[in-house]
Amino acid sequence: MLVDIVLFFGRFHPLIVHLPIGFLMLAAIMEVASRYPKYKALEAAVPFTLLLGTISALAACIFGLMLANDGGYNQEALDLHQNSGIILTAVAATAYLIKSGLVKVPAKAYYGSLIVTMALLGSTGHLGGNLTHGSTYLTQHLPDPVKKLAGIEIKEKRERREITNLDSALVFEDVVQPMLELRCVSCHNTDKMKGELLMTSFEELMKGGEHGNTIVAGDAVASELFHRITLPHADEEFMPPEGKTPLTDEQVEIIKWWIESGAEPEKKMAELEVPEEMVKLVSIEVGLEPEQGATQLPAVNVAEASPETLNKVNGTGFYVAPIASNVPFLDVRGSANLDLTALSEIKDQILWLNLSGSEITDQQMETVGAFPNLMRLRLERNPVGDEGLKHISNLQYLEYLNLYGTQVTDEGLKHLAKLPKLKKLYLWQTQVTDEAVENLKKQKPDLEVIKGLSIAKVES
Amino acid sequence: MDHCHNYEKTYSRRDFLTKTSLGLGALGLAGLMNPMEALGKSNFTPVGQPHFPPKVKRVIYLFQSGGPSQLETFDPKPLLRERNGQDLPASVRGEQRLTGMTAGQSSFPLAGSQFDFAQYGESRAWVSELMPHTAKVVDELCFIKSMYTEAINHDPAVTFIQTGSQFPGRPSIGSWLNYGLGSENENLPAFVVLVTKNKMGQPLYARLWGNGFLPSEHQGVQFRAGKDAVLYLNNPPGFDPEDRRMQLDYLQKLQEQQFNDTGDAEINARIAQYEMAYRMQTSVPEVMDTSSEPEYIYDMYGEDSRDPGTFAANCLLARRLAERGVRFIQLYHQGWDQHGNLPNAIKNQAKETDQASAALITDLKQRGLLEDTLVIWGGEFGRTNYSQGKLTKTNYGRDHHPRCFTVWMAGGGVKKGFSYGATDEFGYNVAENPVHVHDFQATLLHLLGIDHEKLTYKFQGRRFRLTDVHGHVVKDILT
Repeated sequence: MLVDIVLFFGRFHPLIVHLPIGFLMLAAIMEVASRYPKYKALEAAVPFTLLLGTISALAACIFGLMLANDGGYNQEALDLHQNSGIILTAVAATAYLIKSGLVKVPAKAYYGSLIVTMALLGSTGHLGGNLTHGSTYLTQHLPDPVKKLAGIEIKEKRERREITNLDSALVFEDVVQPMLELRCVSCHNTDKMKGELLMTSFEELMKGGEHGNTIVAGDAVASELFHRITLPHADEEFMPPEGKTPLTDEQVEIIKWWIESGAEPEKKMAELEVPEEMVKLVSIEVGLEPEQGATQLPAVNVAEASPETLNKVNGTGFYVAPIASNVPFLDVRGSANLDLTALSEIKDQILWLNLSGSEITDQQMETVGAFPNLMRLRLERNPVGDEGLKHISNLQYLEYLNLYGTQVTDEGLKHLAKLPKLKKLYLWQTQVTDEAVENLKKQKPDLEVIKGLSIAKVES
Repeated sequence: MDHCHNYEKTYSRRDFLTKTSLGLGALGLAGLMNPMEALGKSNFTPVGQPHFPPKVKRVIYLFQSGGPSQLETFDPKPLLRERNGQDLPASVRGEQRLTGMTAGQSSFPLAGSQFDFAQYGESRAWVSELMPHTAKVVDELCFIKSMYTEAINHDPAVTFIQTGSQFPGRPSIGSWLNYGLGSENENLPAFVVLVTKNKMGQPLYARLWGNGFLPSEHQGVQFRAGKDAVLYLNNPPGFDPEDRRMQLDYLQKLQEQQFNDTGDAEINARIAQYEMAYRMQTSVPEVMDTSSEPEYIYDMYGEDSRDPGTFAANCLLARRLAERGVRFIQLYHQGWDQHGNLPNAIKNQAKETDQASAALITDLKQRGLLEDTLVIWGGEFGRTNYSQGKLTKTNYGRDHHPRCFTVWMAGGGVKKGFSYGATDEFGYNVAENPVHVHDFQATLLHLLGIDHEKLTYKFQGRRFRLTDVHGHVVKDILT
């Protein structure tokens, strides 16, 4: 009971620490500002502010000691933060005593104590931040060259190794560990070590935490880890805790299978007996197969077009809309008599372009060819011909090309053989012959070509 | 006495909270709206954005109202022929609730189908002799043979599959899509309804394409066959378009004033509807005029397609609407409710729908539209494996059956030439991979890039969804 109350108040520590930071900094700022005639009057407030700072620092210390009971922190880092905080309180108190005239010492000592207070404020705060967020939190997104200059070790990014062949994928290192890395390690690392569990390596994971049995090889149900990730999401014990993204159902399945198959550290997929369903789940997890029902987008980094740009293009008569939220790519539709060059500003973002029945001619196709990320292009019912197709023969991502009702002939088809991703080609109501289609299919066996269709007569 | 009029100000606390906390308020997906449309000048309904890249941009739903028999169309059960006339074992029926029409029957004689089945296409899909045209396009279709629902009567069952609730009052699928994704063609409604003319059978009513609690511009607009596709759309004789424009401009001023006084969002909906009607004065006659369609297209959809208002003519119209970017095209074809005289009646139903359904798939495909359109064929429930009323050599009937029925889908994002789920050998219970109506709806939304758990609308203190608190995307049928 008492422990509970202690812990309850302990958790206010992160809130209260901000008070001494504010007060003490304010005192220092006022001290400096009072040098200027305009702010001379502030000097009288400095002792009071220092007193507030000292009292709040003392409170922060007390709450901090309570929080330390919570455990789960790296002891060394905790000690450092704790001592630094206590010394800070003492030095701040000294500064107050001198400034208020309660202790008579030379002014130099006062300035010294104020400077030390500031320095300790910085270091204690930083150490505290490391305890909660991990020591790499602050510098994580610092550009590598700057890190080098600052002498910070550049950690090799633990991104999932690109898997090209499922058989050679290491079950733990390539499949399971990256999931843990993403969802668990932010709390179970050397700095934080919640529940005394480290999940940074296979050995540490098998050693387990305070509950023990984190992983029981061959028995998922007996494994604490599996138990915790499969509890109802509202359960207090559920991991990762409330507010953090949980593992997906598929990932839980994979972890279950890995534990049950013996929780092997170094086996490859090929060395284990993998049920067919698991092959599929793992393939999707490591990115060998697209997730069922997901649309594959070009693997290029494209910046989102600004609302002003979109507004501008929309104003030229085109219908422009993002294909989904948080996706930079755009769906664009035009109509007759529009100036395609208006789209140049969003050329990288255009993914789907519908120009059906828009009186597009061969000359305008040059502009279309400059939209590098086009996936779907509808050009049906336009006076566009073979010459026009020349301009789009370099589109790397084009999967769907609709040319029905155009003036395209066998000659134009030759330009399409170079399109690496082309999967669907529509040629109804064109001059293209079956022979040319056959030729193209020989070069691109995966291509589906749709010419005119009819439904066979049914005798009744 | 002024305070007595306060109730007229529907700009209530709730409205205020909704409008300020949701920012742009009642229109569009909260927080997902297209900013440029919201800032734009016209009254064009803002286009929402899908949650993730969609597979399809529009849906054509060929709703077969009345509950077509799965046992006569796509789900053959040889055992029923073998055991023709024998009683349905109680163990198979379990505790299924029956309708008042057969609950009193002293026996439940199993009825084998009078129609022969064969396998077609590379996918070897089973189709009965009633659907010879559909049989030709099976390699484009994805059959779900394990659909099940909760309702046993037409009204709740149709309401359930169209709105996610058996009780009236919720928005229908098309309204949710209209609300969530907006329109792709500002000159046509995003949700159009086409009902086969002169059909008898279980009634259809406008609330099936109603907006429920969503702003009313999201409701479906019925296009009728005949002179006025949309009633009261045309200007009266002697009234020219410029006069109409002036009238609407003045009306809008008045309505805006009213909106400023009361803050009722429905006034905005009304303004939007008037403007849409004005644009539809030219766009609707254009889309309804099929005279430019060549002969071979009419031939393809069947002789009926020359007669406006038939299912075939509506299928052809559906294609024209899809070409123009209409988001949700809902067809209704009544008459599948064969409690008696099933063999004769279903023959006629199949004849009216089979060729045009297959033609629609084919026509969309050759135009490259099937790639981003989803076509759905199906009813509100299935029919019993036993005969309602007397079973004779040539005649029988079937009662409503919620435990299993078949629907098919075709188009972008769903597997082609694929069959999902199965019923038991009696054709009474789902044997594997059951698909609940809410699963079907969740999957439909998923194909359009919508997370069915995130498309919500707050009404009477609660956030509502199409799938209520249920539904799982059937990932196994997705490509």
